[in-house]
Amino acid sequence: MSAEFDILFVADARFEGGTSTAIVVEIRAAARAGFRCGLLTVKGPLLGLPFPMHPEIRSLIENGLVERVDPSMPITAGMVLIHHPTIMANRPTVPLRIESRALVVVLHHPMFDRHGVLQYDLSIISNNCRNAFGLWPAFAPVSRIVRNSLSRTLPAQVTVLEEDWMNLIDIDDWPVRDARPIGKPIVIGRHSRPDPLKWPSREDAWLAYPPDGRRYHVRVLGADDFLQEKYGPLPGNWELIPFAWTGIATFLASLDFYVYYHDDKWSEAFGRTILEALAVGLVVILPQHFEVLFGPAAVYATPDQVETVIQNFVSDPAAYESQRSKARSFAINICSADVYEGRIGRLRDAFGVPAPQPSGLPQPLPTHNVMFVSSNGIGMGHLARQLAIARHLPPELRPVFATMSHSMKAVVQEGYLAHFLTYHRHLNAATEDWNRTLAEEIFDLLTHLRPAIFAYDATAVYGGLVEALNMFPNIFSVWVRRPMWRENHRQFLDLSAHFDAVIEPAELAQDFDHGPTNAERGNVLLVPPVLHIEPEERMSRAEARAALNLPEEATVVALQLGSGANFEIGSVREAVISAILDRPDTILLDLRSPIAAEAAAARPAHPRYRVAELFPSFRYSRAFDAAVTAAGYNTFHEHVLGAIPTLFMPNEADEMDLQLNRARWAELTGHGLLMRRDYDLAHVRAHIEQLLDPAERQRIAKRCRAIEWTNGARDIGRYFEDHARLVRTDFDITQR
Amino acid sequence: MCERLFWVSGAFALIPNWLLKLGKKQPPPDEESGTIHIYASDASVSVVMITVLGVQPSHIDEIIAVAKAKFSVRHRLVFLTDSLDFMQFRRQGVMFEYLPTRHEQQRHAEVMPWDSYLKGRWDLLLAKWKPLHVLAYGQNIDTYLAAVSGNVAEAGTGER
Repeated sequence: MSAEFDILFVADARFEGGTSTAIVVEIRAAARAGFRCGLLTVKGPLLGLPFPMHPEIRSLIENGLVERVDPSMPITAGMVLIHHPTIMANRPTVPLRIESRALVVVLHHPMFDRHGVLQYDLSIISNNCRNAFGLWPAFAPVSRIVRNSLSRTLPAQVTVLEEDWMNLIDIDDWPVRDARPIGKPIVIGRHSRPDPLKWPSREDAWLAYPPDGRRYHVRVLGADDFLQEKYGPLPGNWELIPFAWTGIATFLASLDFYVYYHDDKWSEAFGRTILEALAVGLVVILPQHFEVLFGPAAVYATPDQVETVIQNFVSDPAAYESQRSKARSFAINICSADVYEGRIGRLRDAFGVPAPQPSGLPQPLPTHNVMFVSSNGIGMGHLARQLAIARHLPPELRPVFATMSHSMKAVVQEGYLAHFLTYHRHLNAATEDWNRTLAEEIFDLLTHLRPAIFAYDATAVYGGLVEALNMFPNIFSVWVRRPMWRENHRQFLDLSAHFDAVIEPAELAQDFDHGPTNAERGNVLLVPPVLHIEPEERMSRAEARAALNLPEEATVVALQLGSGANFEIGSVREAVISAILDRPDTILLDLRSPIAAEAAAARPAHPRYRVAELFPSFRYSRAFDAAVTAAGYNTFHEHVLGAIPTLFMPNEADEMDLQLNRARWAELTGHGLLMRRDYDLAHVRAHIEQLLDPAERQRIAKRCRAIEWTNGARDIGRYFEDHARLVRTDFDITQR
Repeated sequence: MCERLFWVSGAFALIPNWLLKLGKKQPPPDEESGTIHIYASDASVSVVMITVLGVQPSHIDEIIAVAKAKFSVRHRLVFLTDSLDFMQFRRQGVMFEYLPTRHEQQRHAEVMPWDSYLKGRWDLLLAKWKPLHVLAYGQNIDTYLAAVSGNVAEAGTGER
């Protein structure tokens, strides 16, 4: 049975700017008009970096205004609206099963840029549409600029709608600027996504956005380091606000004039941001070439005329109010979302699309596997992060694990299927031999699991893994790698290109990370620190103490220093245990993972020394008054975010992450204490005294509790959900 | 299906006896499978694979210890287990491969075509390790694979 929609939107929902905003308004308007809407998301060739889905599009899905569809679903749609021609520049890499009466490709961008360079080929796009959807498309330019950019001699099968597919706006979302007089200084502003092409030359910028701070204040939303890179030092009267998805209307209402000039190389098809400024009722000053779009709703000038134009309005308040009124009227009369129903109606009439039918229940989405692959690792880090993500996947995405970790049992105990992959160091095998075998093993798993997402968590990327992955270009592959790398791991960064996305779970100690991944932060999806168990999910102190048979009055110190397999800690460990147990009121709880491959450490015979085999031990951590632990990613973030006063002893082995930097951050920012194996052996007792000082513990816990945090696992789960049902057109399948 | 396998069932007390009954020597690898031999660079390595499927975890330590005592150090032992207690193998310094139990397969029946995967997996393991001998304790691999297909009744399969 096929899913039925009145309108199926086909879009690359990752676009940050006007295209996505236009789609949002259209979907809202369509839903208001009673149309049943579906959304088929595409990964087109324009965006290479791991942009997430536009938050407003995601919000429409969550609120049921549009239904997510899967490329494998049979779909019947009254009409298919493909937003942005470039997403059909390559043919879809999977067959689509979509029946429709009308297929429209909305041209959000001119066919040629200002220098005559072809941006997309309508003939190729037409053919790809025809092959994928079984229909020749009609093209809908969003403006006269786009229409005028089309070739005079179009291929025979290409039709262009007579009506421009103007960007629309929900007027109610853009309350008009109040009628206050122009400020002193005059506030000039603009907003755009952070892109140097959205800004003019330095000379024009200084004319359009004058650096005279006594008379002008320039407020910029969408500023970033690129501005300084483009212009050098910026004027002191420029107020720079980072790009944001929300708060735009409030920003615009704070301005007196909206002035927008862009790079000569850039060709603006419509100018969604300009429309937003008009809707708020601002006096908008633009370069002449925009007149064809906005007519008398804006004022046109060269950059050197901007100050004069502004001063003319300052001296003529009536003209200023009149221009504001023209701006607002244009938005209401020409671009209001209320016109959308009529536009769709005309399209339906033209293509003989049947009237909408009463909506049925949403069609269930097919279930897909998500394959989590992780390397060996000394502790549980890779698996714990992957378990955290798995917990945040929707039920239609089924986690399956393949790991080299000897702690795999933890995955099975949580109810997931897990496969084991051998690691060359444990086999005494040559790495080349092992990689060939690994490639075959992963290939076999991929052919049988056919996952929608391949999620890899490790620092090292193995040749065998890359080889297998390259055989499945349709699978969306993600490398989730925590930062704090040592320099000797830099070589692996070059392998990022083998993944469709790289996601970096952030560090609380991010400012202390100067490792190789630091420079890559702009190329990855950065999410907050990832935790498997969240602090609020822990047992209460009383429950945990009861579960661990710990008396309420005792001072309980948890010890979790790891196996020492690659970093000998015997002497320090002994000194720590002794210093803790020499106090009369303490119980030392030596935490061992029941499933981790830890070497057996010495167990001193002492009535207040206890071993607890727990996983995940964080669930019990409200029972602890303090802790002495290593500073691996998971333990560190659990202890800080769980506000457990902790003495961190970093594992400083060469093969490990920069645990020292995490621990240093904790010490220097008051979120914990630091003790180093090779420097502090003589001072262990003093460290323990400090850790167990009630005032010190209170101080640390208070600092930790003040940290604002959301779980990055949730963001990654959403990202996976949004990328598990993509149609890929970002590469040419016939070339792979 | 797997003629290479020499399966011995019996009580735990009989371990020393079954270890004396070595399986057949494996046929020389074909050219294709040779490319994924884990010791392709070191032809001198000889591997003995010991399947311990369906074996009670409490017996595994002793099976490993006895196997290590019986084979010379020039043989590398690889255990094929369905137990998740990997530390039992790591502690004694032996290598291991893992196959999911029938329970796991049934629990995740929809996840993948198990029959095809596990048969292919076994072929891949043979090509990977090129074992000189394959020995079985507990359920043999033929029975394990047949059970996946549902062709073998539970009773009388040698499952322990």
